[in-house]
Amino acid sequence: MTGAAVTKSRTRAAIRAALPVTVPVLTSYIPLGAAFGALLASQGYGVGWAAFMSAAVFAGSMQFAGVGLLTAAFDPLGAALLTLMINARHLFYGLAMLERWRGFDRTKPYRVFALTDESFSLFIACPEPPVNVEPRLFEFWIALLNQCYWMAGSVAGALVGSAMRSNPRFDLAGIDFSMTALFLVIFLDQWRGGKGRAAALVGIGGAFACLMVFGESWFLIAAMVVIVAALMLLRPVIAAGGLDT
Amino acid sequence: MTRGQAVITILVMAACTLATRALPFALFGGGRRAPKVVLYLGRTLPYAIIGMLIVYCLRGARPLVWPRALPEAVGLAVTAVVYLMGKRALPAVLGGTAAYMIALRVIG
Repeated sequence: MTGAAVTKSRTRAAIRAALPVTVPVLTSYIPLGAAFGALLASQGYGVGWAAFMSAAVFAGSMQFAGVGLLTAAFDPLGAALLTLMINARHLFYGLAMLERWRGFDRTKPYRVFALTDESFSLFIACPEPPVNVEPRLFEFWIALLNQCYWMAGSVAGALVGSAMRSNPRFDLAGIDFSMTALFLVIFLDQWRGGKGRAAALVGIGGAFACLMVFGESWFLIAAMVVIVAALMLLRPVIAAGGLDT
Repeated sequence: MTRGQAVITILVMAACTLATRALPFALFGGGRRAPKVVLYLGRTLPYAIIGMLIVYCLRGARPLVWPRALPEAVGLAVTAVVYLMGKRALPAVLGGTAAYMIALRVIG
């Protein structure tokens, strides 16, 4: 076989192995991506924007929060801080993959870029691909398929959202509550897990106090500073697990 | 927000998301251990930030002006009940949003 043919057959084997593994992500990314796309389109950002965000950012809860940023006043610093804080958990995924992903190959930049919660949990759940498939290529295709699902859902949702927005028979007022509902579900899910309750209360309390003091236009940056400060002050207690039960 | 500002906002989000994913490889790829305070914030911030985002989403609600915050209360309650019954995210989000949109039109 020629070099190109070898590459092609290796790629085909990796895709064939990755496809069935990604089905659970398919069934959650398509509807969630569609909800994101519809929400974004309801705020006047159509299909192109949804595709652009899902291609460039590729982070679920951040993209929902990003819809809020795009409808508020231009504030790149606030956007940067919010993104760093929402995605702080990704630091752990990277740390967990350090050993396994030591060394460099040309799929690594994309594997790191696309290290979402879902891709990470798949990597952890199925560490070994079939014998004829290269592990790193297998993971590359898992991540790429996942992003394809996310983009397909986003674009489909944005198409529906745009069509409804331009049709006066549909009234989309209030659809932005889906963002609130999503965060409440994530919150309840974390709360049921029993971990991080003290931190969750710090987040709600700190944000609420800043909302009261600074008003709704300005409180977000203050809240992020206050929350980090409060977490640092409470570190001896929280890190020891004293408040986490 | 202009189109250019929207593009910049999205690129900022993209760059900062990539930063959180790439930082461990850039900083600790050579076997250096991550500082404990970084690990601590990485472990606790996700919980705190979701709480903050709920407050952020509800920042416009006026709980003291009856019945202005009633749609929010209905939406949150339906979301929570549907989630706690089925432990599935999607029906809870759809149900809660639908309940909110209906309450918004009924209550006004």
